[in-house]
Amino acid sequence: MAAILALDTSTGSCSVALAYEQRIFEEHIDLPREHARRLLPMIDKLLRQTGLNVDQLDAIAFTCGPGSFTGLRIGFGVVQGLAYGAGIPVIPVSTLEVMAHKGARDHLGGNGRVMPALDARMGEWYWGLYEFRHGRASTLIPDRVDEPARIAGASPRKPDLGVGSGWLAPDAVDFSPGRLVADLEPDAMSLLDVALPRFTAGQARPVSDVELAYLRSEVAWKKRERVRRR
Amino acid sequence: MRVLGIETSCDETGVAVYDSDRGLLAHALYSQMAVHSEYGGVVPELASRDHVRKILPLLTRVLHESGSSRQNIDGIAYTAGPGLVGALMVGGAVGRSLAYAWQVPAVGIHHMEGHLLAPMLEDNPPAFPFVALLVSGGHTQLVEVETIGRYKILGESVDDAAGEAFDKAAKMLDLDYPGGPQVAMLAERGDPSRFRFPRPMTDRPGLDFSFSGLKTFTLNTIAAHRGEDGLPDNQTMADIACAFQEAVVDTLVIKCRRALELTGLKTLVIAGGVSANSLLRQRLEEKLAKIGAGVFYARHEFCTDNGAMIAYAGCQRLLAGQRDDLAVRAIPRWPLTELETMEA
Repeated sequence: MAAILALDTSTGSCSVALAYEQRIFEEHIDLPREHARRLLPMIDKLLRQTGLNVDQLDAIAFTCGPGSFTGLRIGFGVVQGLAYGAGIPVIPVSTLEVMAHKGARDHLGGNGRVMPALDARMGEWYWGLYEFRHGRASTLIPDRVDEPARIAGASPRKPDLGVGSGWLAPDAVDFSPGRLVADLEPDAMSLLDVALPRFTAGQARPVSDVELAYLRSEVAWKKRERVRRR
Repeated sequence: MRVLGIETSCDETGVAVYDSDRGLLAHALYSQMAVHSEYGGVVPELASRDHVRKILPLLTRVLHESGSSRQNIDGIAYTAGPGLVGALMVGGAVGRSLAYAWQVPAVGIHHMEGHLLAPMLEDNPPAFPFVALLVSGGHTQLVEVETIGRYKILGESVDDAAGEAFDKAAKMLDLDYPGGPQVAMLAERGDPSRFRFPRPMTDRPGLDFSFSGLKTFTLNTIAAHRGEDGLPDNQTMADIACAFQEAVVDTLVIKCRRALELTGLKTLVIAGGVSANSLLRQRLEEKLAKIGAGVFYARHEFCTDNGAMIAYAGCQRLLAGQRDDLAVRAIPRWPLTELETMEA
């Protein structure tokens, strides 16, 4: 079995998981603003437990966005250093897809529609819509950023489950999912669940081909800056 | 010892390889100037995003040009601060984890220590101890340098940094960002005798600077000569740029000379973006020759931010045995006096 390292730094918590020889090892901390100090020591701890070094990994999976810009860059920066240094490929996975997968697995028995939503600040949500059949996901609406009030118009099909921090303010949308788990966060174990089949399917890529998916584009951001300056 | 250096503290992505036996082997820089110029200053989020995109291609290029690979890189140095925290994180995360993957030591470097050691990359490097004038968009400091890591602040700006004053004057004169080189270019066509700007804080003892008053003086001079379009005519603009530059340079020269006299040292190092200013270099050489002191500075491309100075500083610290743990260090505010000193 392949040795795959997975790491998630997209939100307030930080977690690392390692799949190796039918076993999964995990490290998790829930300390915002500690990602930069703690991530590499957590990775080192898992590698020591298995006796592996970075070169012996087959791939590194990571949440590539959306999420906290700085958090994403800490995670991706470490992925860049490790993958580039050891010459191993990477598996970028949407933060929202990881959340949807975790929600479907833990709350819908692997079947149903999940709408993950992260608070994007500035009155917007990062969101998407995923459908699961027997644990396998298909994307109904690819990840995007919108004011919550516009989501109903963009998503004709309503979810069975809403997950993530966006749903801490459920009244922002004018429909209600069957169930809500607003405190669900992405984590490296769930990321591994999504990433392992992709690795098997040959979908790992060179790290130099990968970009973060901030969703809030630089063009949109530039316009705001201009307004503020003038 | 061969060290890879990474600099991402602001709006330039710099990567370099320095070898303690063979000197600087390769360096590459990507400047985001074009990205930020339309805002009149650096936009931190855009800077961080650009570092992420540029860092691996630059690493590949510098490793190739220096004939290096993981087999002969002995350590990695990255800028740990001060600077924009999000930008620092990028170089720190990549640098620290690359060192981990290659199983070599890493060290986080103080950006201004990098600058003040940059003249060491030249053929005729200064010898310790010396006085350093660190003069950039973020700093104006006079530092007594005993050896690497032993710094004493002799004086510093109580308000704007000199480079910041240049940038602000450039904005008032309708010039592009970054303003220093633009003001200097315009000043060449100016008449130095037409206006005289004040030399702030030179009439009292001490080595502190203040440049915010010059900003106001510039604004008032522009207002007093305003034409129909709100700006003075071209010659007056050049005369104002000239008077402004004369005032900043003269102030810096007076304080540098005073710092050398107070410490009894005979070597001055100037570093940071403003140290590329030709008038400053020329005046310091003229005035300090009179007291038997020498001036040292880096080549133009190493006055502004670069990876070479970080590779050099990192090499010295790694040679002295410094080793960082696995944390990625990103310290946005970090006084030069709080650095680890190195045992001789």
